[in-house]
Amino acid sequence: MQAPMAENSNRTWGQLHAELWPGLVRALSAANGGYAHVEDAIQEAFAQALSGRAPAELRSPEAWLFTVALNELRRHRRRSTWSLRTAAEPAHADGIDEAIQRISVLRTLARLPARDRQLLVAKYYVGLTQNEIASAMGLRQGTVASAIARAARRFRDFENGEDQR
Amino acid sequence: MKETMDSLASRLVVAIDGVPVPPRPDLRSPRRRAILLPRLALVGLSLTLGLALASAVVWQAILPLASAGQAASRESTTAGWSETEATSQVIARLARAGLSAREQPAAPSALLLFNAKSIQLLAVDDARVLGLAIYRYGSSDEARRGMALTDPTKNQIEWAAPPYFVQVDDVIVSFATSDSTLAQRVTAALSGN
Repeated sequence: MQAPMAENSNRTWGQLHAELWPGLVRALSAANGGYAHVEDAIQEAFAQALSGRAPAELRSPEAWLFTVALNELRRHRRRSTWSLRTAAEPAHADGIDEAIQRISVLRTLARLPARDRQLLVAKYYVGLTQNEIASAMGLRQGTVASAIARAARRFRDFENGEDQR
Repeated sequence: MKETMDSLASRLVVAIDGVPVPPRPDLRSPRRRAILLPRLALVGLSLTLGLALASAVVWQAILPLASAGQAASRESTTAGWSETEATSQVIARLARAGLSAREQPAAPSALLLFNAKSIQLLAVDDARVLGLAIYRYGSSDEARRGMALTDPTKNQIEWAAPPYFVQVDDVIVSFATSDSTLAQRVTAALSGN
């Protein structure tokens, strides 16, 4: 029997594993710049949860799992041959313009410094709060907003640079 | 500015949502990770201590320390192996010692010893060779520092048989066997002699 994830929730970590897996893989692959070790990091996060190391009250289990797995990835940081460029192939058939757009965004993201990438994904994809980002990434709370703004600016600079080529 | 941020956010979400996801593996419980330990033929390790001290050098064993104390080879014979090369090179060198080996599924991080960054287990088709593992490091220097931690007389690990450690550039290969002649042969082959 699996322990419930939080006192006020009926969902077990097993159910969350099934529910949150795709989103966590995508978020962590994007933040990590590749798929390498992402699966292990997520499994480690769930293993910690199952060991009772998650806080009893969680604002968002996805945010907590993302943070734990991201820290795990940063500890075992490696480059992978499966980069975002490969992973960015369209997952489903849609308009060619949309597919190109998506790939372009992911390629730009992959070119950013790791911290910028992690900040943008944590903020805009996972939806971590500034407190959570500060704690996950070892930043002072007051600097999170400006760090995100800088990362976004760098993203656009890279993107514009690409467009000009 | 707000509009731009929102636009960036939505573009990121759409782009990341389009990333394909590999099939989801089963949820790996802490208990299942512990069951994998015998694969490495390290017996008598308690789950709690094994997990808690996995990244440290000292593993507390339930049983007394095996009578080990094998001399470790510290030779460095190659000029840097990539992560993928290391496994195939070790398999090739084992073949020179007359042993066939193949990769095992991914090892749990709980098996990491000697400050290694990752571990690859090999199954050797010879019952005398137990728990062959390749500990990978970022550099030869890191592996050398790891090698200094492998002294079986200082580590409270319950080995299934006397352990041997061979450093080859940025990896350490460990295995256990009671056959000292075979151990010499394998050590020589791994060292490239």
